[in-house]
Amino acid sequence: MSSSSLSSTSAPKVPGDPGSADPGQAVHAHANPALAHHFDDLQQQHEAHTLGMWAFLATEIMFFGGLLVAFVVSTTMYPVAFDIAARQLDWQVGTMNTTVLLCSSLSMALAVHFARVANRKMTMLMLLLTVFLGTAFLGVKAYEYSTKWNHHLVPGASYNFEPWQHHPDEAETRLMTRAGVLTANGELNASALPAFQTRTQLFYGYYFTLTGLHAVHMIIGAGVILWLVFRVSKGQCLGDGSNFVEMTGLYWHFVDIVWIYLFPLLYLMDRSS
Amino acid sequence: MSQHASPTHGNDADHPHGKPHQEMQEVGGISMAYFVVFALLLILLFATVDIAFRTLGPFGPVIAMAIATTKAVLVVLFFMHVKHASKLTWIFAGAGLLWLAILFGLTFGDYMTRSWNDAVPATTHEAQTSPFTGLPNQ
Repeated sequence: MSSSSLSSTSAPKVPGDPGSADPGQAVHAHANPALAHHFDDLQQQHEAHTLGMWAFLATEIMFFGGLLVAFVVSTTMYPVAFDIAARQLDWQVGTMNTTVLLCSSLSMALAVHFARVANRKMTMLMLLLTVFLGTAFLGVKAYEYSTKWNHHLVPGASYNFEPWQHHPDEAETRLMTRAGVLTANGELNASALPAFQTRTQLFYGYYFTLTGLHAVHMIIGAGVILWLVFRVSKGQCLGDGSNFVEMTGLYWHFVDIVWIYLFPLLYLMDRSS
Repeated sequence: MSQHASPTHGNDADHPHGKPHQEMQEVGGISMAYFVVFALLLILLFATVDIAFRTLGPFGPVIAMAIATTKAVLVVLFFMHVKHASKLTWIFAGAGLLWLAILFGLTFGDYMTRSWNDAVPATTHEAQTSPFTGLPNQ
């Protein structure tokens, strides 16, 4: 890729910019194509972008926070039913997926670094790696969802949670006894079944809502990153114009933080037996 | 203020460090903090898995949430660059946390203390083992 072909495609980086600057020449701050006309300088522009993104992330914190506080209250109300329902989640798959997500956060942080130093190839590589890891996470999530669907653990008409039919281990048997579903001598207690089904279904309602909204955020993030890959491939969003990559990074890391809380809350409630 | 493109090179890749604000200390061109933080995040992940299988009673969830918060702080400070950000950015980032603390503080201040007057007796064994014994059962 010759430098002349790059400079011809990288001229106006910001929509609405006069685009008068020739990137081949030394440019004054106010004529910098990366600087929107309503900002005094790049530092002010960067500060405004960062603050705007954090204001948005604060609303996202409250969005997930409301769901999380409801989940924790329900967990504390029905600890036994939630405990036994959570044990059906595969903690090994969850651990692997969390590792994948942490790797994607590292690649995103590196993408921001390479965009700042205007390394086009490495920025693209890191952004594509982030999308790949995010897609792998979503693929594993889809596999987990299909398992729950096949086991009738999706809330709704076909919901049917019967852990006593699947050779429960010692801890599960003890929890079912504590929940009153099994009597002291291991018999099924039919009168306790409706409440047990309702409470475990409540857990799976939270599980699908929380992880589903998290997955929707990841799909949006992956879409934005793919758009960035396209921009960066044309030599845009680099160097002075790398704020777009950086703000997308803030969003991606935030979604990672949401999962950092969801993973122990959902998958690792109390595995000691 | 801004970086001046070299007159002989029109290529974006030829003028590094477009950002006017301060960078982290760099080793080999890339901040080592990214890799250190990533390693710490992995260690903390396996720590949180490990403690889930230990009998810690009520301290289990507390430790798990403390580890999660440590991980979140690491991500915010280093991956999200708040450590080197302006005071105003700290306030914006802290505002979300403050309102979240109010949400959790007031909610649990209510629920955790409802059983103190024992106005509504617990009706099932599960309800009796819950701190929220004052709540309706269904």
